[in-house]
Amino acid sequence: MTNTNENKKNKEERALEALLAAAFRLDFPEELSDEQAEKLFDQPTCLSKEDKESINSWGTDFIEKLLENKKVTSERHSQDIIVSEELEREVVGINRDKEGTGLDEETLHKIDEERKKALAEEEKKKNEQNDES
Amino acid sequence: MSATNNDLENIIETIDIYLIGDENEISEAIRLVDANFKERIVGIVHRRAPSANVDDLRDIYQKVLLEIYKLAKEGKYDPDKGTLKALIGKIASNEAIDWLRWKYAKKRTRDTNKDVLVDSVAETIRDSNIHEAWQCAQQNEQRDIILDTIRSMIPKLKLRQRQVAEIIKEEFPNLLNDIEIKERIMQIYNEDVTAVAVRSAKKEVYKKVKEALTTTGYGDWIDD
Repeated sequence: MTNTNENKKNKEERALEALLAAAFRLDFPEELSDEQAEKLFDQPTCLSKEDKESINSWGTDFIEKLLENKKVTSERHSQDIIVSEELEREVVGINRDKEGTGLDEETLHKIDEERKKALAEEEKKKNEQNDES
Repeated sequence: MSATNNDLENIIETIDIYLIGDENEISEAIRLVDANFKERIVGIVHRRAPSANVDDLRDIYQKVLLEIYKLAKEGKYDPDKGTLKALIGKIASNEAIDWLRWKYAKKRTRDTNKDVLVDSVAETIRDSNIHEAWQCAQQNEQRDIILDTIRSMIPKLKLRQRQVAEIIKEEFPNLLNDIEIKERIMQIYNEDVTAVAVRSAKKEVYKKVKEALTTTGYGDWIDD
């Protein structure tokens, strides 16, 4: 291919990339109005048959675990124990390794134990610092 | 069997009632959302974050449900002030954007200013054959239709192709070559791919964007 043809091809490809960026980053605002959000809800999904099959195989167990976990979390909040955003992300991330299920009692217990250990260590450090000063 | 509009309205009305109830009723509302709107919610996330795989989609979906639960629990959902559809649409969209930010945060050196992005898109297109098609579409007020068609086509690509599309759109106006995209895939998705595979995925992405122009009647300007 000559340099001229190569340059022309590059320009066309760059233009296609620009259209792609425009479609997703300019014409699709991050903050949606109620009207835009409703429109998005009503739009037909672009999921493939395989995606739909996978999604429908998730079952309902993980919802029950999620709701159960939410109750545990809310009880923890009432005891003035803050579950960080990071931990919550980890909690959600853990679920992906357990096909069709959410958090079991054992995992919740382990998380709780780790959290208590971390809090105890933090408290110990604070006390040591206070002692030093 | 698909739900009729009346069925849908009845389901929404029931969920609305449960969402303003006590903890058990809110849980019931979440079960109904899951039973009736799972595909829609995942579909919204998939549009926003096309590179998300099925595991990612499930993680984001769970966050959407948790967010709905949290808002209802805090008494922040009022069906008289906003609809359930708008609530779900916004939360699903926001969670997908958060996921994208989280995924790209460590790799993005800066967020591109919107004006810079607008200028870069215009400048890049002006320098090509597509410019005429684009001008014509704008004159016919069909710009939005083309962009919407692109948005609906990209999520239908295969996972690797969606990853490449996402890197292209996230990095624009920086234009990456195949090797750079290959490196980004390694950084972001921790997957080792060949430059040839990247090139092949890029071609499919370009093909979809071209298809969007063709199906909306503006394909005559494009070279094959």
